[in-house]
Amino acid sequence: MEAMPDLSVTTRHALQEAVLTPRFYTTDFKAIDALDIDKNGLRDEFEWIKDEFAHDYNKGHFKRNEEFLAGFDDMPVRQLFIEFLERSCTAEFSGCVLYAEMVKHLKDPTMRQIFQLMSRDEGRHAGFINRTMADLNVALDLSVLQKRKKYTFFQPKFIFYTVYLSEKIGYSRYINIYRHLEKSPDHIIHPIFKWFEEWCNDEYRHGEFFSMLMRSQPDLLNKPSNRRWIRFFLLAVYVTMYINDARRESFYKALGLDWRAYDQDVIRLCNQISTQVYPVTLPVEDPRFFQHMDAIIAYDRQAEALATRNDPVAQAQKARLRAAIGMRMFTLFRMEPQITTSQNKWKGLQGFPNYPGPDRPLRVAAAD
Amino acid sequence: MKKLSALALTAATGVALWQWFERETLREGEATVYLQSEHEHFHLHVDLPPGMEIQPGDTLEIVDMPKVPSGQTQGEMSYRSPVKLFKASWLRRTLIKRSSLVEVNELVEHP
Repeated sequence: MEAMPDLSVTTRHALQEAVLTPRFYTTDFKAIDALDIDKNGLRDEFEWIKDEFAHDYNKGHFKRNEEFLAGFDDMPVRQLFIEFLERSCTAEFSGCVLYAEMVKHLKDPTMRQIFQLMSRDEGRHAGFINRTMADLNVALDLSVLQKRKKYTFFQPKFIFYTVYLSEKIGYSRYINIYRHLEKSPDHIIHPIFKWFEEWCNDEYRHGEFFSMLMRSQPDLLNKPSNRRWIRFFLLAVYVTMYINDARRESFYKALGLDWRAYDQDVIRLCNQISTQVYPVTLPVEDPRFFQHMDAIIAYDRQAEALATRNDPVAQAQKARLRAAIGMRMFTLFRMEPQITTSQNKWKGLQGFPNYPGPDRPLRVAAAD
Repeated sequence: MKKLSALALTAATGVALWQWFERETLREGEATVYLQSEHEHFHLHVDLPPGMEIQPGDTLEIVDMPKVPSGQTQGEMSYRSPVKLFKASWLRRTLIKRSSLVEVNELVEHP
């Protein structure tokens, strides 16, 4: 492999330590291993997606260029950008570790290889962000990896529903930023955003695998109780993102984005994409949907304003506001879902390879 | 008197349950740690010794961590390190398995 030139930059900012808070997960690996991916005739599709991952479309993509040499001491929202990098690095790193755990526990060679390749992608993304933080004189405090690590348990189906959504909403977020900055290059506050298009294709491709995995287990999609879980996780993902982004309004403003319009676009796109596998999605085109979402933000802002107060009155007010958020979420959950039909089902991303069928030509993996 | 005895019994049961919940069993061994923290890749993988398995509620501590200047390695490092696996009690494990949804925030949050 070609040696990376040293593209270190100097900065007058003091060395800062990034707080990495990776999550470590465990699940019922035996149950995942027992999933029969052959029973619904999807084996060949799994082989195809494995070949797609092995092809490694982004093998040469995550290379820095001279644009990274520019000083970023005076970049707008520098601290918010660093926090964005920290959160992104944590998420990519956690994904890398989760997928690697799957490799260790699964026996099916195709599944093992798929998780191995997805772990490669996530580790590569984390590395790219890691180096970008180093440019900003932010060193990762690796001692956190030595501390006692807590392993959070989730049922396999919860992992499938949420990781699928996480990959697809990740795609929707990055592609929306990329498309916006293509039109408004003045708002490119850091070159890393120029890497987002190919980057988010990795996320989209990972989501395709989870979509396939769920399709291979129709109960996960068709059982009435599981349909409720699907709606629950869609809502949880959308509300969490909406609240988080509303709290970081100034970061999006620096990118020339109105956080609310941006989030609504992201939610609409993600909801549309998820019709590829979910038989029900949320009624995001119903005007009441975003009215309730906006009400949640109003309550959250009031609660945030009370964050520093701990007196009993403030505590009671915070509890009331949390309850109000919960009630709005319950109302959103109870809204009539959008049923996926052949007309509104996501047909795939333009220009993105779809499963061509069993007679496809053999794929050759990317060369070093 | 009866009320007092019932109260004492409830309190004793509560304490016993709490102690059971909190009880940990320590298992020690030597693992292989793979760490890469640089531009090309950032990952940490730990190969635990045979028979040492992480289950819900367990916590793992890697005892040794080499000095990594500025948090950047040169390629992938692999090294042997003692590890401590704190096995959760049956009660904690069962409760965690049943209540994982409480931590759903971890799964649905996206940068």
